[in-house]
Amino acid sequence: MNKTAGILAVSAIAVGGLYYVYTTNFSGAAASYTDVNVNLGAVDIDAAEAACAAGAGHDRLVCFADGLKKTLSPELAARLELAYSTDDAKKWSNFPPAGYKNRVGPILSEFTPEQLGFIKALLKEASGLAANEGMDELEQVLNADDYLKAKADDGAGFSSGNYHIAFLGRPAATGTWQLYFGGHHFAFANTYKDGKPVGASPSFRGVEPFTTFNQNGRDNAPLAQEQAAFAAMLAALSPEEAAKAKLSQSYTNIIAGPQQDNNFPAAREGVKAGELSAEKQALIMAAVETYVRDAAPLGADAIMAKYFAELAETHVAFSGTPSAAAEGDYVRIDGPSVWIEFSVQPGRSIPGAHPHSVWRDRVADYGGNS
Amino acid sequence: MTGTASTGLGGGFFRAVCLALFCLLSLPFAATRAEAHPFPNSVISLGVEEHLISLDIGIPAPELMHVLTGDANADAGAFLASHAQDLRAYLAAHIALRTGAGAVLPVLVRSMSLEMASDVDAGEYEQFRFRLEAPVPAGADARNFQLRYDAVIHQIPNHFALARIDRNFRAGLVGHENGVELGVIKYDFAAKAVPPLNVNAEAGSLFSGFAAMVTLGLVHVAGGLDHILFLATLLFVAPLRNLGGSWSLFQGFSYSIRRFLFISIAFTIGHSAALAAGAYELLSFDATIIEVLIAVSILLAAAHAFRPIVAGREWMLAGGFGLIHGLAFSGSLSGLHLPAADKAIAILGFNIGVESAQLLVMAVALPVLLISRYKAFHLIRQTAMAGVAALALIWIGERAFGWPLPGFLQV
Repeated sequence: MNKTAGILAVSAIAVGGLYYVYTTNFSGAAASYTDVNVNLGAVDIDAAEAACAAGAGHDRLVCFADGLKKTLSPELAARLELAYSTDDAKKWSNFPPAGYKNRVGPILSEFTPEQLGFIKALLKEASGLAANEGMDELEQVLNADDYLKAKADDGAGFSSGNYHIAFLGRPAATGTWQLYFGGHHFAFANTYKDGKPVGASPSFRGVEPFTTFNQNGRDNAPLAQEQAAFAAMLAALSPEEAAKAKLSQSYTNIIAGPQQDNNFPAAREGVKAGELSAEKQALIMAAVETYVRDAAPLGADAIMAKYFAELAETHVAFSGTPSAAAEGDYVRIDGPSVWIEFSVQPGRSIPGAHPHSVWRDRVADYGGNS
Repeated sequence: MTGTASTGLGGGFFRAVCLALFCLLSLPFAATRAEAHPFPNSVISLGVEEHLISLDIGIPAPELMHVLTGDANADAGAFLASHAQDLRAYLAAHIALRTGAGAVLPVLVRSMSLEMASDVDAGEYEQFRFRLEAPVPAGADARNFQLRYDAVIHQIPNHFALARIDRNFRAGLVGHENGVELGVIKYDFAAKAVPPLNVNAEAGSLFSGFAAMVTLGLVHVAGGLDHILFLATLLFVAPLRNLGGSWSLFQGFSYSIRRFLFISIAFTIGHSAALAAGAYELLSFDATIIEVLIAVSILLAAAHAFRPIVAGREWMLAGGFGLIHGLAFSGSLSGLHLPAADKAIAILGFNIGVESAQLLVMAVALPVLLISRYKAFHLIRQTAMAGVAALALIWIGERAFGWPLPGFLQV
């Protein structure tokens, strides 16, 4: 019996030792992403809109936010509404979930259809409603992820259900809060102070595939308008102007991407809009508009007015070809406030180029808070 | 890019094998995840030893080809074959090391190759791998220097390089765990230049190097299920005696312990000899053949435990295959470019780690001594050995012929 006890004791200690070696060397965290297609386009918002029929603008945003919060479990509500912090606001990315794990807030697949109705109504109220811009563009970028999930799943976490939403600060008539929404190839940071929009950037848009694709019952080409606007802007330049606009270095990605706040060149490069004709200036503003008008008119009108006032000092630059469609093409609009970059990159999951782009505001990113 | 060193076995497979063996352990075991990287950047993995600074550099081929030829999609393999001198000249022009005293250290390009890499955002892509070395003259400090690096970045300013120290033996870094992040070498848009990176590596001590090697040895055995399985299978019949073609039941404690030790020591001797030989690069071998032989060794051990084949001479099996198993691990040591004294300490530490882990495995197997006195042990043994043999066959298929692991093993 003594021998038996001894053997069992030695063995038990050894099991403990091996267990220690394993847990300290081989354990890893599991992802919570479930890769669900929530098909945002098909989500019904009638009930949410009926609940917030009265009011407009920011009041209506608050109404949708409150309507959503009422239906949530305390645990989900606590993860949805966080204290306002620029640290959290900066946790956005163009990467799929497996590539960037610091996003805040719940993901869309955690909500019921009723709750998704409130979320969609809220996103719609915060966004521009033109075709292929704002809300329509958002739905299409999410559709692209469902497309990638179906066609080229590699565990990266593609799916519309994997996009995060959070309120940084309490949506209310007073105080500062940000509507945080983002995931693979998508992010915006609509910030409100005392009921007024004070910033809609950084705002990231990318999409793969770049060519029109059918998913979730519709054709999608969310960034085709952006590409066409950049191409028209560059095509209008005379050879001398184009030579000025051409950068000496090459860009294979945007430089003011996620976690690259304020990563702007000290001096603006390229051709100055003030030296161009009114028609060419209008083409620059048209390209800018494809980003600014992703936000609701409530904020976008004032931003467009500011960028128009600063247009003379705004520069346009590019590298690669001026088509803004080929791999290695890069376009930049750089003004006293506005900063837009568009970079066409090799396909990741499927053949063919795909774009990354960001709209930033040197002054009003994160609502001017830093 | 390719992530941290893999243990070679996925977590699901490990758990499945555990179940098949009525495994005593229920271990949380997750597949090693590749670290998240932004759009394919360059990675500079530094080694700092007493006499040598080494740089293992990975540069995405499309980015470098864009800089060198203007065409990101140019054939990198053809370029490497026909423009090796141009590549060397480019590296020399864009990589420089300066000691604290300001002296420039000559950097030698040891190897240039192409490989596939993968990135969570960029997917699969081709990557150049360059191995550079800078011998450090006596009296100079190999752990404090300035790295001036702007390859690719000078022309593609959105590109950047992550730098880290992966090999610093005396500070406990032996190239098998996450190194010390040094920072990002990137374009400074305000200065319109790439600032140099100051490297100040921990000096460490021989002891911390030794301790790191002990841990590495432990982890290597623990992560190498096939090694554990081989040893455990041999030990399964240690308490038994060959009755002319079939196994007896328990033959007493002193008999069992003696055989336990005999088998273990033989395995250890074979294993240590191979490790040392491999570490000093006295042997060269094909890793695939070694992996297949290890699976074969498990099959043989299982067959033997099912029905005696080499009864009484298990030590030969243990010693012979100990050599093979040791070779599989010796690759872990041959990558260390250490001065002789440090290398001896490293091998000693690694061996102590490996042997400690084996002692743990043996201790886990001890309860076999207790149950081997019961008649039911015959059935337990035969069932377990049939399972082990099946796994060994699957491994042989996977390693020799590239058969995919069956779905139920990929939990």
